[in-house]
Amino acid sequence: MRNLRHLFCFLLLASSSGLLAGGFQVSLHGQKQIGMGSVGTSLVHDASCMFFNPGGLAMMKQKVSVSGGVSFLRSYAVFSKDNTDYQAETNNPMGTPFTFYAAMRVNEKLAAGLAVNTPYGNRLKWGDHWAGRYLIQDISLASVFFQPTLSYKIHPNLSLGAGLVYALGNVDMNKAVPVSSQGGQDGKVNIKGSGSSFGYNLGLLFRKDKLSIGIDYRSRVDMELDEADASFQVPASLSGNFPADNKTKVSLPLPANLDIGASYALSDKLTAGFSLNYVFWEVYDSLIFDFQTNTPALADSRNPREYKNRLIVRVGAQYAFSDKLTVRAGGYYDPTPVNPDYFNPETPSLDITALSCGFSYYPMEKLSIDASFLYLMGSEMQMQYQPENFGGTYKTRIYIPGIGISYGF
Amino acid sequence: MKSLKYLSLALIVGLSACRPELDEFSPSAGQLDLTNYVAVGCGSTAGFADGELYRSGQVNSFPNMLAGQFSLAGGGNFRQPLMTDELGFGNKRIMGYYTDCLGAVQLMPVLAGGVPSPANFTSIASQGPFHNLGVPLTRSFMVPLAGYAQANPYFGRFASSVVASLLAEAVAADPSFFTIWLGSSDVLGYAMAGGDNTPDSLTPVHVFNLSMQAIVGGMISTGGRGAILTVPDITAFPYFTAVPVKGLTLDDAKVQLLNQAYAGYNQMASALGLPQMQFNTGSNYWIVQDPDPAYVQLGGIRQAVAGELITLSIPQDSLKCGGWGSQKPIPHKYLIDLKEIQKIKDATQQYNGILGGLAQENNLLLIDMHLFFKGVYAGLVADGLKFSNTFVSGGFFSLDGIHLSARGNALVSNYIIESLNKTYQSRIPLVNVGDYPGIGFP
Repeated sequence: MRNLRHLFCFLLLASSSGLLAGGFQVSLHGQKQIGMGSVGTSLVHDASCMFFNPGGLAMMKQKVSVSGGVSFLRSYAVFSKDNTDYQAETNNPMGTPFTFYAAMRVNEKLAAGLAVNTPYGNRLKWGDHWAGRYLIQDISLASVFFQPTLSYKIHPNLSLGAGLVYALGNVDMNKAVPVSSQGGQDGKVNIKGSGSSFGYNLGLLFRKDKLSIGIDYRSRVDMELDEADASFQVPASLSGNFPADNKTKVSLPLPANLDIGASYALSDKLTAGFSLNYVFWEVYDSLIFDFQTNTPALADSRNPREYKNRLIVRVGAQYAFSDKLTVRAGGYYDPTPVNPDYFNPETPSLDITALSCGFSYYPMEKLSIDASFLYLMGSEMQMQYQPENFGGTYKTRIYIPGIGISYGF
Repeated sequence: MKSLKYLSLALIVGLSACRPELDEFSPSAGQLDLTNYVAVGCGSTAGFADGELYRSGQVNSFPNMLAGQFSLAGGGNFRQPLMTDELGFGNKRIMGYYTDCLGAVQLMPVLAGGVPSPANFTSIASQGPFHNLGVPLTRSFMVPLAGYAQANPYFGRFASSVVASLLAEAVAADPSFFTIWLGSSDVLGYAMAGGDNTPDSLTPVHVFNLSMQAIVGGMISTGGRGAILTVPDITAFPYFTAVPVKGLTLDDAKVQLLNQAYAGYNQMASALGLPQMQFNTGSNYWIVQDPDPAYVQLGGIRQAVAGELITLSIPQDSLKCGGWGSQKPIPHKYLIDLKEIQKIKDATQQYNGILGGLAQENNLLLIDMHLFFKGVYAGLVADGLKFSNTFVSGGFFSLDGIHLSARGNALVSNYIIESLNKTYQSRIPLVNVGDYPGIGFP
């Protein structure tokens, strides 16, 4: 059991990705999908369809399919403070979000599988001394979703699927506390904890001739950390006001997604598709820290976020050059869900234009090596976090090469 | 080998291309000539903080911060009459522990201790001319006063001669741009001394007027431009608000005792039509001295009323253990009564009217510090730091409860820069408030 926990911790650490896409959602759910701008709702490559549409699993052409991959995420955010000559940039550790999918067909109509992936995460390091340190110094937010899935073909053209999601999450963040030592050192608080939660994923796939249409709904998952450690480091004379080993309750809602997608086989070799991905970000209304021990200087804090629901538009295509090689390309536009008055540098999510490409190489019929490259451009935007009166211009760039392997027969 | 070189070059270029970039801030002076900035004022201009003028306080003075930002937009050298150490003349306060008369250890400002360097007391006039002509305790009429150096050692230590006036020194520094922030000391002396019936007084308005005319006339005589800063409402400084006027805490037994003790007083007061003493469980107004003839028959004492102020100079142990404010009245010099508060506010308003008129007549920028301080009193947030006029924890004022902290100076600098940028089409960058030290705790 303990080893299992260690494994989870390792997975969580390894998967925390950089600042990405809208909010802290990480759309890296399969190398084949990434290559096509993460169009996946209407596509059934293999077991990896389980995330974007568990309904597709019963339509999978393989009897048994295993697919896994990892992405290597390098993110950069730069910041220029309003009306100053001050600039800062993040020095983010590389994130490695991963996926693992395994599925098999139980009979002609029924398929079952397990999906493991990392749909939400954030890994960001602005540094201990930057101008926004009282808002955030660094954060690592990670989640791993385990999704056992069943899919049933109710009609030759229509299948549906459902997955139960068990989510593990952890957060580890540091920020400066605005009390100084006589040596001029800021106080510091570290908030660290993990939690688990449940959710579900429902999908429907309709396929007739060359057309596929998919609908998928992934539920909200509330990551509740009931007893996160809140460790304060402050000058000794103030330690009564900031208990060193405090605890805090904190809850982070991971938003629901509704995807509608369609794809069409334009020829034997060429398939193109799109998807509309609606993200119910409004659930992220505020970030609340409910401390176990409150003092006159340490009240519970409600930090407004007021995210807005957003529609991500994705397009992608793939072309099979031969039995050995399929190439892919795609892109999407992901407008920021962040309220411009409540833009906290802990999640520097900007309007993102993404371009991707990828390929699958088949050394043999059953095996493919899948690779992708995703490039995200976060538009230059002027944002404020009004409650702390901290604002400026932000810009981000994210580079995500990824590699995976799929085996099926 | 060569290909390796190209490869590594390509890698470096490729990697650096990864990083997004934002436009750099391009500073400019606009219509201002910042080549020679000169600041004239009292303690706040000097960088006086925590009850003393000391080196890092001077370095973190708002004029020095301004000069640093000005230097990015064509500003020149800015010389300050720096103390050689962190102790100045030896009155600096730091946060420390004090065991009070009840044996309780209090975290509060205490004398920093240590022996100041003798060099702080010797003249550094030869290092001049200086651009920061802020001198602690300086009132308007002292600026044009010849011989002021002999009266104020903070000026004496850098005055070019014993007869030189502060104004003459400022004019000699040949300002292309200047700030004048005077008037606070003209009301502060009176307020800190406890108002009427003390050796101190408010600077009469006509004296303030004449002095300021002379000062402004001198400062513009070299053809420079400048800004005049108005006088804030000093009655909201922590020095006057840290000790609550409704600070007498009583339990049932004490209420009873005091009611008995002051039964005679209350009878007499009621006969005279004056307010009686009222004691309730919880917080009560202190009992204070009042030299007003109306109270002669009542022994010259009464209970304080809402809105009155107690100065920070009151000995806390006398309040806690000496029976001050209950068995004995608080001496009048620690109380600013409503009449006195009104006098201070009236004077401040009149001073500010004069400053506004002078700015307009001479085409100078009036910077409304009165308004800015009002914002601080209401609570102000910058870069995740919260400021108010709460003593110590408010962060805007230093430990003397009157002068600015380093971060307070940064906020003032930013307010001035914003005003300049708005008026003179300049692009002077603001400072990062968090770059300056907060109040240090042990």
